[in-house]
Amino acid sequence: MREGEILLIAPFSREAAALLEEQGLTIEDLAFDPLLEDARRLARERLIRAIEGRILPPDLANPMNEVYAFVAAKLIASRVGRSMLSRLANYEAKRFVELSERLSTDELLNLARKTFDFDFKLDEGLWIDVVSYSNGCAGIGGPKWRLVNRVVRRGYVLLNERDLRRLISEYVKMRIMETPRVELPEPLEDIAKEISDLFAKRMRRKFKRPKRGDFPPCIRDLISKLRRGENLTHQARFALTSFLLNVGWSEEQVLDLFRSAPDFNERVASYQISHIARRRYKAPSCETMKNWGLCPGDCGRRYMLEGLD
Amino acid sequence: MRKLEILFAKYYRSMANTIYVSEVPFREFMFRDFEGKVRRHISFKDLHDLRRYLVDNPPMHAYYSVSLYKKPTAPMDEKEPIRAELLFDIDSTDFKDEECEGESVWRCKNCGLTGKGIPPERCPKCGSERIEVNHWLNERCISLTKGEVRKLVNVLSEDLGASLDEIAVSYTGNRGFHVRVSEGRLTILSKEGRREVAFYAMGRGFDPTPLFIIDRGLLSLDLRSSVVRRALEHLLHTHRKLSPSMREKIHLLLKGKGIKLNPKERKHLLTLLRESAQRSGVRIDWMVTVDTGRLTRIPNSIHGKTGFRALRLSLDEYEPFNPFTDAVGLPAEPEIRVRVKMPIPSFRLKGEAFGPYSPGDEVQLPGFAAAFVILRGRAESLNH
Repeated sequence: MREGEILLIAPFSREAAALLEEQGLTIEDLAFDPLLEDARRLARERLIRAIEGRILPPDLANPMNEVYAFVAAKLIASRVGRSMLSRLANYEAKRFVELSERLSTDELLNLARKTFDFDFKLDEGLWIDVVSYSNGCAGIGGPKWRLVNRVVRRGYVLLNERDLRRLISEYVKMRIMETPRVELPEPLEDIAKEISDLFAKRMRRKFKRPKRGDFPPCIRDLISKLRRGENLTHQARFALTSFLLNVGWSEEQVLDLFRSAPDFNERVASYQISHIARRRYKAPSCETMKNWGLCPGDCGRRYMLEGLD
Repeated sequence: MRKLEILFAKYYRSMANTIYVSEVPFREFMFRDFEGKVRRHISFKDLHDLRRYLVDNPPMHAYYSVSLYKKPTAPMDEKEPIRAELLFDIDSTDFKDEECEGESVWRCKNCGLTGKGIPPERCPKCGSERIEVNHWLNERCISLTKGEVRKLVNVLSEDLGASLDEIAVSYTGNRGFHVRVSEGRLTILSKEGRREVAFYAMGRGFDPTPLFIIDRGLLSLDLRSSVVRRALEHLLHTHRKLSPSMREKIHLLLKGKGIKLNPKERKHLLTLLRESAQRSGVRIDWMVTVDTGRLTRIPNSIHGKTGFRALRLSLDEYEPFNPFTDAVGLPAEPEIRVRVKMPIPSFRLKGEAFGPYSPGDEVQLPGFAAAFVILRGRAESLNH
């Protein structure tokens, strides 16, 4: 790997953070330093790409710019709001999965160890410590990712490299979501305003606030997560959509609700929703919701639609 | 002071020095007194302070938080958690076992119908779901839960990598056990991570498809997964209706051999394995494991529904442990005269036999035995 490439691929890494600290970079530098003009441009571009959902090719000429831009983009997104931050988090996670193919196994393990405190064991395969695995896999849907369907031995989980990159990307997301919301100096605030307008335009259609009244707590949870711009697993999306269609929401109303999903793509979402509507899928049973980890606790209902017209 | 309270007070006066909670200043404590009043968000500067509180204000129930907090007395969302013990709750109430529930009494709150044994989901007379249950506990309930503790300790150490000295077992003081990992990396699991771990132990959500190995049209299973091994073995040993050909195939799978399956057989095998993984899994209440805001009984305090001690046990101690002799903590004096409200089967405490008693009976009992039947809700004290 060329020197500095890790910064391009993983601007969130501990190495990058250490460099920033060494340089004593402040928000004022990010906002005003004329030498960082390119980084500001790149940050803006990054945010636009995050809204559009297309990955921006990295600036090979100046890896450190990639780090400055990453930091600036985080701060700006956080300033715009949780939904935008979540959007960026998703973008950075996808970007990492794509670009990290260039890393060797050693580089990948080192990155995960230093940045996210993962612990590994190499013994006829790659094993990751069960705590790092379990804390990360929760955000990823599908039976393959459940701990119970993995090989687990003496505190370690067997994992291939591709899945490891996906798991790391979950940590990237979580880390970005911790970005504090702070006041920004004018040049960055200007970008924030521009991004905020663009983002709002993208989600232009107003939410028709449908009645939430007596929905079961699992559904209320999913709706408020979506509203906060959090990512939902495939199963959570299915559960929510099938439930809402079953209580009489139109496809259009469901689509509107999903607009705040961090990876919202109108074409894909409307296809999925109308697929569920066409097939007339029923809302999952409480048992299934529990198995999918979507049941927040015993609400006393025997099935989701209990007590609803 | 009522007689029951005198018994509790005497216990704490003589036994306060056995009360032990680690890292006291970072825990939240909660107490419920004999009037049912609850005090939450309490903290103590050290163990000595906690013990003195128990002597001065003997509670009916005493709890502490599984989480360590920077601010234990703050409201829930401002406590700033540091880490949390990984807690598993094994309670025979969830098992619906004939023998364990044999003396439990249920009553329909709608029509008043009563019965004994495993409570029905719905009242057989009026169909109402409002059923209240007065559980009893016997040796069977305890031996059932011990079996689950054994399985869980095995999963924790063999699969999840907890070292044996990080695992603590405690008798809840009622119908089951708590198993906890109090040190090490597992205590930094997030809520979601705890759910993964709990489901793993339960075999819940098991889908062997990702563990299939397909080689030249032959299907085998990844036997490095202990859930897979457990499910296969359990199928062979307990499933009586397996067809001979399926039995043979499962034998081969357990030997790591590949087998041929048509789509129908494959579907059938998947269903069998899913069921078997859950049946052979550990029976825990996963909601408890996931809840890091949980409060749990202080070891060696008295359980207010039995009068038994919630005892902390070592891995060698829990197997021979018998709560009806080892966990009786309340003194015999003062004796209490009680009137029986519900049928009480014969029971033994500290080697002494009591009962059976029928509703309306009035008997004079040693303090600990009177407390047991009063706290179980089957009798009332006559001399306050």
